[in-house]
Amino acid sequence: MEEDTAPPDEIVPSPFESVISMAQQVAAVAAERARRFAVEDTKTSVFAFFAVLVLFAALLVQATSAVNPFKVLDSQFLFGLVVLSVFLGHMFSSVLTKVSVFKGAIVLSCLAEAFFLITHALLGYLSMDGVMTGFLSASTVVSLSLLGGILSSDLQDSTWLGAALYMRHINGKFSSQGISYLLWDANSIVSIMPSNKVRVRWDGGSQSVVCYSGKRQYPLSHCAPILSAGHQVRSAQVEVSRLFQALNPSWQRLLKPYSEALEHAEIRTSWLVMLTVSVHRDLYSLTSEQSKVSVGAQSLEIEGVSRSIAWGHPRLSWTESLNLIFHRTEADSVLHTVLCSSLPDGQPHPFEELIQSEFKGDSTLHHRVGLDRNRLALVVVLFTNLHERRNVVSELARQTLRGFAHWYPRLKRDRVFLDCLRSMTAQNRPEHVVFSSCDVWAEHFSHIISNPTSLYLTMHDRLSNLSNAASTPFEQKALIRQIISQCTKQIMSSNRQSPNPVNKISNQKNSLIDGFQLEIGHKAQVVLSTMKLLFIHEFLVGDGE
Amino acid sequence: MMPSSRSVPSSHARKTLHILASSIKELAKELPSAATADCKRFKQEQLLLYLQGNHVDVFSGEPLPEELVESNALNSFSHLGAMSKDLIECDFDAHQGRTFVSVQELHTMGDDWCGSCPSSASKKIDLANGFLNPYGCWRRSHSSGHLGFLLTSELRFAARGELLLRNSQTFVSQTFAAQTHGQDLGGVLTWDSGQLDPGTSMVQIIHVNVNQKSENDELIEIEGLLGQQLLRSKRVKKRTNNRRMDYTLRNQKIPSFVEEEIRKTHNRWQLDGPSVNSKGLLAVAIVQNNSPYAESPTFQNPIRTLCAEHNIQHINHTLQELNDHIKKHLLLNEHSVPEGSFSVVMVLDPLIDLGEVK
Repeated sequence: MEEDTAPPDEIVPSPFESVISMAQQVAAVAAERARRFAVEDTKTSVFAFFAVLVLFAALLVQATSAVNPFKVLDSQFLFGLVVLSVFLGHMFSSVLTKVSVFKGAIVLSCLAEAFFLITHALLGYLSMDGVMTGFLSASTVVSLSLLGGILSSDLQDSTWLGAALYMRHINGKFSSQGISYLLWDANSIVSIMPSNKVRVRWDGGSQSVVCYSGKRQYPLSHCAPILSAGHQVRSAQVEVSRLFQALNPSWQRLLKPYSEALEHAEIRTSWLVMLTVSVHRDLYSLTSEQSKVSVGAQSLEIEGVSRSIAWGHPRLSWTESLNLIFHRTEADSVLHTVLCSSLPDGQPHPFEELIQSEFKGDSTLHHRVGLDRNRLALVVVLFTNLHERRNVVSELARQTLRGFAHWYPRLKRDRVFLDCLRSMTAQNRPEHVVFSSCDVWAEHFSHIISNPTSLYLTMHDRLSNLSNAASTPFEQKALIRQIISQCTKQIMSSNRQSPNPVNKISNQKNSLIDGFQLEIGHKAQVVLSTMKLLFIHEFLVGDGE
Repeated sequence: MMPSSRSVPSSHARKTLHILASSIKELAKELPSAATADCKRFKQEQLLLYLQGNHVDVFSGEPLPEELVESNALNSFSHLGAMSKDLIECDFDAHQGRTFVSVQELHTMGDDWCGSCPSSASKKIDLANGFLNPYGCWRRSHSSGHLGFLLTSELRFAARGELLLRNSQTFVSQTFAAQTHGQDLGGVLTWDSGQLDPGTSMVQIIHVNVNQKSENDELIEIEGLLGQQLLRSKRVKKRTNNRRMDYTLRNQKIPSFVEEEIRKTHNRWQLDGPSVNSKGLLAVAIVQNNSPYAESPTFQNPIRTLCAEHNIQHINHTLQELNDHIKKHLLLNEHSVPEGSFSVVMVLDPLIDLGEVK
C-alpha cells in the first residue's frame, strides 16, 4: 500500500483565535513578570516612578480641581501621618520592598490613588465632606510618605531575601537529610557544624555569604556540606545541588551567591584534602584517573577524632581556583592560599609547624618548610598538567608525579640530605621561609617538557659547577654527587631494551642517528631526573632561575 | 672530616673496598678518568647519548658493522664500537696484525687485551723508580685523579693472640669523598694537598709493627694498678702467663694472616672490582724499615708462593730504596713505617669500564 506522503494542509487560525492566542501570551508574560516582581529585587527606579506618579496626580488636583481633597485633613493630623509614614518606610524598607504582599500593596495603592486623583482633576466628582475624599487624601499622603521613607533608606538587594530563602528551603532540609557543614578554618583546624546550629546571612561589608555559629562567623566558602556515617565523611555537594535544582528558576537566581559559596567550599575542601592529607599520606593517589569521584578514604583528624574522609579531586584547575575562590596569585604559598590564611608567606603556617613538629624549635625548620613548599608547588603544577592536557604532556606529568612521590619521602630521610640540611643551617639560618612558587615550577616544567635533554645537561653542569666550587660545603657536594649519580643510573637503566633482533642493524643505525625522538618511558625518566636536579638546585640555591 | 680510628675485623676492610669499588663504578659513569680534553668530551657525549636513549651495553651489545665503522658516518665518540683503541691512548701492542680494534672489543676480549696488558714487561710496577701506575690509557691511567684511592690499615694484636686490622685512613679526591659520604666507610678524608698525583692509583697498605709493645695490653695495665696498691691476683697472674705465651705465638700468625688478607683482597677485587675484567691485585710490595722479620723466609715464603700462584707481581723494598715521589704518594715514612716494622703495599688493578655494564 502506497503511503500518502503529501504534506497536510496548513491550518490557518481565525482572527479570533489569533487574538485569543496573543492575549494568552500577554497574560503569560504578565504573570511571569508579576511572579518575578513578587520574588525578585525591584529596582529603586520603580518606587521612584510610583512616587512621581502619585505626586504628579496630587499636583494636578491642586492645580486644576475646585475641590482640593487634601484640605479635608487637619494639618496636625497630616503632619503626624507624614512623620509616621516616613519613619515606617525608612525603617522597614527591606520588608516593604522585598515581601511581595507589601510591595504589591504599595504599587496597587499608588496606581489606584493616581487613578482617582487624575480622574477627579478631570471630572471633579469628589466633594469636601465625602468619606472617600478623606480616605483618598490620607492614603495618598501615606503612600507618598512611605515611598519617601523607602527611597531615603539603603535599599538592600536580593541577598536579604536569599538568606531567608536559603535558611528555609536549603539549610532547613539539611537536618532531615543528615547534612552538616565541615568547617576547615584558616588555621587548618577542622570541625563539623550541625546545620541547625548555624545561621547563614549575606554580609554587605565583605560582599560574601557568612555562616554564624554561636558568636563566631566564617565565610560560607569555608563550610563544605558533608554527609557523615559513623566515622566516615563524604561530600554532600550532589545532594545540595539537587536541593537547589528543585527550586524555581527565580529562587535559584536569588540563591546563586549561596550555591556558589557552597560549591567553592566543596572545591576548596578538595584542594585542602589533596594538599594537606593526600600529599603527605598517599601522593600516588593524585595520579589516578578519578578526577570527579572519590579517590578513596583517607584519615583526617576532626575535632580530635580520627575520621575517614572520601573526597574527589578538585573540579576546578588551580588557576581558576585562584581567580574564583582564593583571589590570590600563583606567586603565593600554596598552603597559605588554600587555607585562605592571612599570615605572610615568609612565616611558617601553624599547619606547617605541625607537620614538622618533631623539628619545632630546630634551626632547620625554615629550610624544611621551604622544601615542603617547593614540593607542594611542584605537585600542584604537575597535577594541573596531568588533568588539563590530555596528551603526551599529561602522561609525562603523571609519570613524573609518580616518580616524585616515590623519591621525595626517601630524600627527607636520607642521611646525606640531613647532613646537608644541618650544614646549610649552620652556614646561614634564614629569617624567612624561602621557596619557589607555582609560577616558577610551571615555567620550569614547561622548559623541561620542550627539551628535557638540554635542560638536564644544563642542570647537571650547574650542579657540577656548584659542587666544584671551593666555597661549597662538603655536605652539599655530597648531596649533589648523590643526586647526579642516582639520576644518571636511572636514566641508563630506563633505556636497556635490546634492539629488535629482526631489524637489529637498521635499528642500531637509527638509534645512533636519530637521537631526538625519545621513547615516552625514557623521556619520562629524563623529565623526572631533570626535575629532581632542579628541585635540589632550587633547594640549595633557591634563586628560582 | 676527622679520620676514624677503630679496630675492625678484616672483613670490614673488604667492606670498605666494596664501597670504594661501587663508588668508582658510579663516578666512572660521568667523570673523565684521564685528564685529557678528549676524555672529557667522551664523557659529555656519552651522557648525551644516555639522555637521548642511545645507550648500548658494553658486553651485551652487538659490535657495529665494519662498513658502518669504516664509513666515517659516525662521530668519534658516538659508540664504543666505533672508537679505536688508539683514541683512548691504549699502548698495548700484543697484536700488531690488526689495524682497527674498537674500545668495545677491549672490554669483550678482556683476556686478550686489557687482561694481558699488566703482564707485559713495560707495565711492571717498580716502586724504587717511581712506577706505581705505568699505564697511559683511559681505563687504567686515572690521570684525572678522580677515581683512585689509598686505603691504609694497621695490623693490631688483640686478646688471646688474635690479629685484627684497624682501618686508619682512606685518602680519596674530594669528589670521591662526596660520593661515598653517608656510607659506612671508616676514615674517609679528602686528599691532603701536600700529596702528589692524588687519586691516580688504587692501593691498600697494611702497616705491620712486629715490635708492638705490650703497653696496650689491658692485663699489664691492671697488674700495674694492683701492684701500686700492694695487691696480687692469682687469676691475673695466670692470664698474664698465658698472654706471654700468646706473644711468642703471635708473630708466627702474621704470615698466614697477611697471606689470607692478600688472597681475600685479590679474590674480592676480581669479583667486585670497578670493572668486570678486573685482575684483582697487580702487585704486592713488602716495604720494610730494617725489619729482619720481613726479610725472614717464615714471612716471605707464603707471600711469594701466593703471588706466584695468582700471577701477582711480588716486590721487596726497603723504605730507603723507595722513590721520593712514591713515598709521598703512599705516605710511607719513618712515622708510618717505624724502625723494625714493615708495610704490605697491595696495588689493586685500577681497570674501569668505559661504558655501562648490566
